[in-house]
Amino acid sequence: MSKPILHMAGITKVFSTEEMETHALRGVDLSIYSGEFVSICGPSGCGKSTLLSILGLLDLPTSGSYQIEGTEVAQLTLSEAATIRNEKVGFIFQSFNLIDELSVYDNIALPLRYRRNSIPKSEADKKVKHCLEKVGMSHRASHKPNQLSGGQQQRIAIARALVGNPSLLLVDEPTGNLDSHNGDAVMEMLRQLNSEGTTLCMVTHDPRYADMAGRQLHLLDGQISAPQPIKEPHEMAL
Amino acid sequence: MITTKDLSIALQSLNRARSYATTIILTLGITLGALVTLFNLNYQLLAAPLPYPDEDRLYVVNGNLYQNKQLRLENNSQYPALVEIYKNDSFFESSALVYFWEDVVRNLSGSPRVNVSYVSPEYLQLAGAPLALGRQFNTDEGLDSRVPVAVISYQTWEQMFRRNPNVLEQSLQFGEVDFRIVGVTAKDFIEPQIYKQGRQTAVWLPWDFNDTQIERRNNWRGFLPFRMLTGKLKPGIDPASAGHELSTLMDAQYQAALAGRSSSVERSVEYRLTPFANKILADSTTRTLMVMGGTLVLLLIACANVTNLILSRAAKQQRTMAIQVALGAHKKHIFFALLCEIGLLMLGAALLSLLLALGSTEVVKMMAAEQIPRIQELTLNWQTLVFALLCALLLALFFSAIVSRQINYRALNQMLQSSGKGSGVQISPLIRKVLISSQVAMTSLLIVASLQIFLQANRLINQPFGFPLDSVQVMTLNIGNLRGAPTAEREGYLKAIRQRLLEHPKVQNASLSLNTPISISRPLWTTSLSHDASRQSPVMAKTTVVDENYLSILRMPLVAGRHINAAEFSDNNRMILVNETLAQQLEPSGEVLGKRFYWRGDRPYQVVGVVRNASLPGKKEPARLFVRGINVSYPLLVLKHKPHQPLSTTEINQEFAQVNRQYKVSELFSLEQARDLLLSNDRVSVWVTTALTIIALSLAAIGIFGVISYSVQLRRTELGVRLAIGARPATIFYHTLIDSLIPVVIGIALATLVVVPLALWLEQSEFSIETSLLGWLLPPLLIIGLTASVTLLSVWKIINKPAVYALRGTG
Ligand SMILES: Nc1ncnc2c1ncn2[C@@H]1O[C@H](COP(=O)(O)OP(=O)(O)OP(=O)(O)O)[C@@H](O)[C@H]1O
Ligand SMILES: [Mg+2]
Repeated sequence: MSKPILHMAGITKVFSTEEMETHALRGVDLSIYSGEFVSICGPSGCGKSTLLSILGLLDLPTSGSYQIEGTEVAQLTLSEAATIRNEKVGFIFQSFNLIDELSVYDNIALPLRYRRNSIPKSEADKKVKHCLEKVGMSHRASHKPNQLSGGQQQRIAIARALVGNPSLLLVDEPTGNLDSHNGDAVMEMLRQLNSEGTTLCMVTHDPRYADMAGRQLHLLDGQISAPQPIKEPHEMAL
Repeated sequence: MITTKDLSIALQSLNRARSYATTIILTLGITLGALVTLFNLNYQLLAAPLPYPDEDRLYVVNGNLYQNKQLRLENNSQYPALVEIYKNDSFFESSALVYFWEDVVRNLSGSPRVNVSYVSPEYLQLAGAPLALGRQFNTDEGLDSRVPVAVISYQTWEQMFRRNPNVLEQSLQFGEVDFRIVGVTAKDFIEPQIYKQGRQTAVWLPWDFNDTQIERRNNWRGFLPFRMLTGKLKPGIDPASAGHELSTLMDAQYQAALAGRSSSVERSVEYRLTPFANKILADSTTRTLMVMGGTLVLLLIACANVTNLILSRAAKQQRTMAIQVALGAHKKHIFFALLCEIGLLMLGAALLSLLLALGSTEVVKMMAAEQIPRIQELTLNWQTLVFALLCALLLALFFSAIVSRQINYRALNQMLQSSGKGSGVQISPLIRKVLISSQVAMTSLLIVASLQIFLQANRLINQPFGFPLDSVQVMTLNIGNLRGAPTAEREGYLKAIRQRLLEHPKVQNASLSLNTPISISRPLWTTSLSHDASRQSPVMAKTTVVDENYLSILRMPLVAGRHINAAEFSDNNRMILVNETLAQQLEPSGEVLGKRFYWRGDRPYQVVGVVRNASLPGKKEPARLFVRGINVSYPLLVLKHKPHQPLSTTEINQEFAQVNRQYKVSELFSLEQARDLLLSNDRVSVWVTTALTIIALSLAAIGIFGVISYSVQLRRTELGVRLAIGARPATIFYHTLIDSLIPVVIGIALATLVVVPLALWLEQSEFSIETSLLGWLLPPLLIIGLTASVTLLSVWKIINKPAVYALRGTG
């Protein structure tokens, strides 16, 4: 078995408001291995999005240890977290989250623009075009996101997540805003990416899509309820 | 139309948005209040009639002396000429002689110095002076009657007699004469300040008692200050031609008096009629109008702020409006509802502004009594009231129109159908940019102007005088009834007085003189020096008689030569000192040491020293001449006292009394006080421009913050996405800053387009205002710094938290 690219131990997350404390995560232990496809499911409010945010360094855990590729990242500064997010993580959101004012091309190029060590323009251009091709949207490069359908927008979002060659792709209900036809297409694309070696961690409500993952995690009240045996990536169900 | 129902709905809805309403009413109320105060002031100065009967026919007649067609003396008149014009009844319906002077009251304790005006009986009638007690002067007390009576001002009555109702039985002693008080002017009488801004007469005395020496009263060759004629022109008479005719008459007399004296200089006199209003206002309105311009800009900056607030509120109220439209409201209903709300706010702002104007008018009256004419008359005019309400109405229409334009009524219709999705109404990015640009442009303009004035005034205030000012007191001496005593006797008294003062434990040195380089009330004496006895091409100089201690007490350094020493003073040596300016004017090389020049009499004077130029703020140093001597008629004493031990009037009067009781201190001031008086206008400028700058910057800060934080709020999710894909917080700040700076830079560029031609014009115009680089660069830097801080403040909540919080802004 390959080395885990990320490892979580005893991660908790408490949201404190004036009236009450919400324990969104209560001690999550989790390792994800390179090339894996992990799905996370569970009832609404059980902490799936919270877990994904912490996995992607969008949020900091209240306590616990979190290592990405062997480096402790649980208590990084916001700026350091941003750098790691930029270099190692790709996000795909339910609501696409494309920037309306930017063209499709510029949306995809954005993560490269935020690179700490800037990438030469020609190389960046090559990468963007490659990703556009990969999601089959080369012909729409100069469009604005609101000129595209939901399915097309999500494909652009996938391209944007891929452009920086992340070690980990985090996906939160990628099909939630799509009809089943477009949803299937997006899932097919993700599966394809995984088979090409991209590590995937996806939150979904849809059991059909959850089944596509090599490993399914069930989250209940902020804890992983039934850890499943880890299948080797190439054993994944089709 | 708008009904009371609409109004009460608007009131209720404002009541629910109290902080919004308060912010708008305060912002506009305060800025409008400043504008209204200045409107009131300028209206008073420029448009309100003077409070005197037939004020448009009241004129001052003053003489000017020309030598070789060049103006040599301004507002100096020949005594007999004034009397002749007074007696001439072809131009004036009524005329009055007036002489503004000062004297000490000898029969009151402390011998207070008061402003005295010697007048012929018509003067107080021309001014329409109402009385609190007694009567004005009557015709029996006119020219050549020598009846010793006095009319006192209400303030004098209050301060010197504690409003004693029996004041009419009392008298005031000036010199050796007791003047019986016959009247007290009313509290609301405002004396026309035709001589000097801020000078108020304490006691009016009959003209006959003025201190002009008898021989001067018939001398057509002498020109005297402070004396003038006032008169009410007969209806239909043109003041210019009246002046022309008077000048011809008087010049004929003058030429007759000059006849038989050989002189190469051609002299002539001119008597000109100046309207009361011009005399009283002088050139004071330039500054009050400039400040009014400043407050107008402040109001406009505030309007940009309020536009943003009102638009954001309209954007928030979209849903309510959409529901109203769905329920059948027409465009005009929505507009009227808006107008009601905005109208109420503007009304509130107008009322607040009037209240503030009422208060600030009192403050201005207190603070600028010396600087602004007619300030005692100042009250809120009804014209000002109309002005305030009109401003409020205009603002209400303006804001309603802007909001109404921004609301897309068709989009409102569709808003509910599309289940509240879609971007509804936001303040468009263009409007946001225009708001920032215009605000920045106006703020920059105002600050650049304020800062230039501030720096100029500040430079003057801090400019060294060329000699130290500490520990020196100057006093003018009133000589009472010694006016007629022999010169030698008076000289003896003065020397004895100086000697006594030297023995005073607080005194280090004393000098008898005629003036100091900083003069408070005394105009400087002008005489001329010539290269030869024929007095061709004389050089004019401000002249002071000095003794050997003068320069050392004032610590005025010599650049060449030496001072005249005590021994030479007692001799009849003809020695003079000149300052650098005079040296230059006498000899372009400036080499005057040892040279001889003709001053008075037929024997030349030798220059023994050149005094370093003083540098009085804002003034070119005039040519100054120092001649040895003692002035026995208008003596002045310069005292060097021990550090921090100034003498009081009483202390000095006690010393005088040991020599001769007739000598009294008339006016006592330290050089520092003289400087402060000289700089009082500049201090007001510093004060006003600082206030304008601070208010403008605060308004701009609030306004720019409002718009930028609104934009950032709209971009919250987008910034969250950028953070999610790995933008560092600093990068987000940097990009937001660039975005905010674009309209700011446009605004600064706009201001530059206006300012640069203006500055170029100013620099070559007569104002010759010295502009400073700091004054140009500081305002844009301040505004850019301000924008940076405001941007940081707006994005701080986003970049200082994990990205997920901004991202979640969606829901
Ligand atoms: N910022 C926050 N402040 C307070 N409580 C929060 C916050 N974010 C999430 N929570 C709470 O944490 C818990 C987990 O939320 P989370 O969004 O992770 O649920 P989820 O599993 O993604 O649900 P869903 O399937 O509906 O998306 C919920 O009870 C939620 O109310
Ligand atoms: Mg969720």
